[in-house]
Amino acid sequence: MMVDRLPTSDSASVWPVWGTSARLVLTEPGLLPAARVLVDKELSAVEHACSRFLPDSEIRRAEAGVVVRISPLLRELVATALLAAERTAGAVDPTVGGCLDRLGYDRDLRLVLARDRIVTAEIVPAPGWRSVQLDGDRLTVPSGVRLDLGATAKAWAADRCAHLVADRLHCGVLVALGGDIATAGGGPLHGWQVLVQDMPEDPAEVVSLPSGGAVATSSTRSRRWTADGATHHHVVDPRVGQPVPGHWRSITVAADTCVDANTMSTAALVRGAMAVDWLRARGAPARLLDQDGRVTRLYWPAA
Amino acid sequence: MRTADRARRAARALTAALAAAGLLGTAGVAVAAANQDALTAGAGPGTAAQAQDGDDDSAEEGWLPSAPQIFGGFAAPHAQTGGS
Repeated sequence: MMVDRLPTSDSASVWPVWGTSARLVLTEPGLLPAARVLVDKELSAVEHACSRFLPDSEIRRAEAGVVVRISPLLRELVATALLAAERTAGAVDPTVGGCLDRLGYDRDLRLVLARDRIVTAEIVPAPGWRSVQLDGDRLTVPSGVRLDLGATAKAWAADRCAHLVADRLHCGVLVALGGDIATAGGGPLHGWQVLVQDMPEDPAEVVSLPSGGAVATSSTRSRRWTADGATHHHVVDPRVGQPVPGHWRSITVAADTCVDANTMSTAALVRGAMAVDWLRARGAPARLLDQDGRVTRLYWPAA
Repeated sequence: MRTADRARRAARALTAALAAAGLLGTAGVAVAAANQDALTAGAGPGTAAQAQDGDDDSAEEGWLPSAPQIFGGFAAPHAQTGGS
């Protein structure tokens, strides 16, 4: 669980969303109310398109085993998820929805944690992203396959909201949805200052993110619950259908888009011990925190 | 590999060379491009095992997302990144 220890100020708006917190920061504080309206509307649209937990979300209705025409928004979200899967050779796979359900994460985490007992169903690998067909606005999700766009949809929403606010209101903007941060427009003179820290006991540092940049953190310590006496987290290895082993506590990656940053941080967690080489090969600015509290930095400033 | 990917990889190799020669302020964007083929081909326990039947790693191999230069921060943070 990320603990947002930053205060609310006149230039920032903070509110709960999707089981985490959203933070909106503008270079022109007077535009915050207008920006908040834009962001709220966009986040609501994304939620109704692809929420795993809303029974009437568009994606729930599309998991029908037949060809379904979908909205331009859901098409873009699914296309983004499939592209992430392709670019990571399936490490970031949207068909892990069923795996999460079987592990007990089948509703909002707050409700999961409130249940008396969670029984884990049989653990099986994810069906695989290649089983999903997207042809223009025609989506085919095989019967029994459950999609979870969580790894990419939140990052996509951060990117989308940041650009929307910058384009409409002509100001510098930072949008943070949990650990996913996107920026757009003209930022502060010395860049956006971003605190990198997952859990309160983790080492923390502040980095300067140039305007237009993005950063995302994936963690094995966040969104955890207990089922059948075992503690699970939400980053699932599609190969086995179980949460990735805790080689890393968290991995933070910067990129020009939040989708790219989140795709890399999630894929790196799945790759475990291979994460450093995989990120290095892509020239990705990254900060990795292992289970012993050691920090590895790639193209990342020293603390 | 697509032409655009080749161009990006070449650009990164050039950047790495410049950085190694001390012609950039930081080697932050330097990338071990030469290692990439070996990494993705050898793959270790990650890629090899998780590639499902018929998976083609070519898209992954060519994926070099662009990234900003990150500097040390020096002021009160505007936001926090952590797992979510």
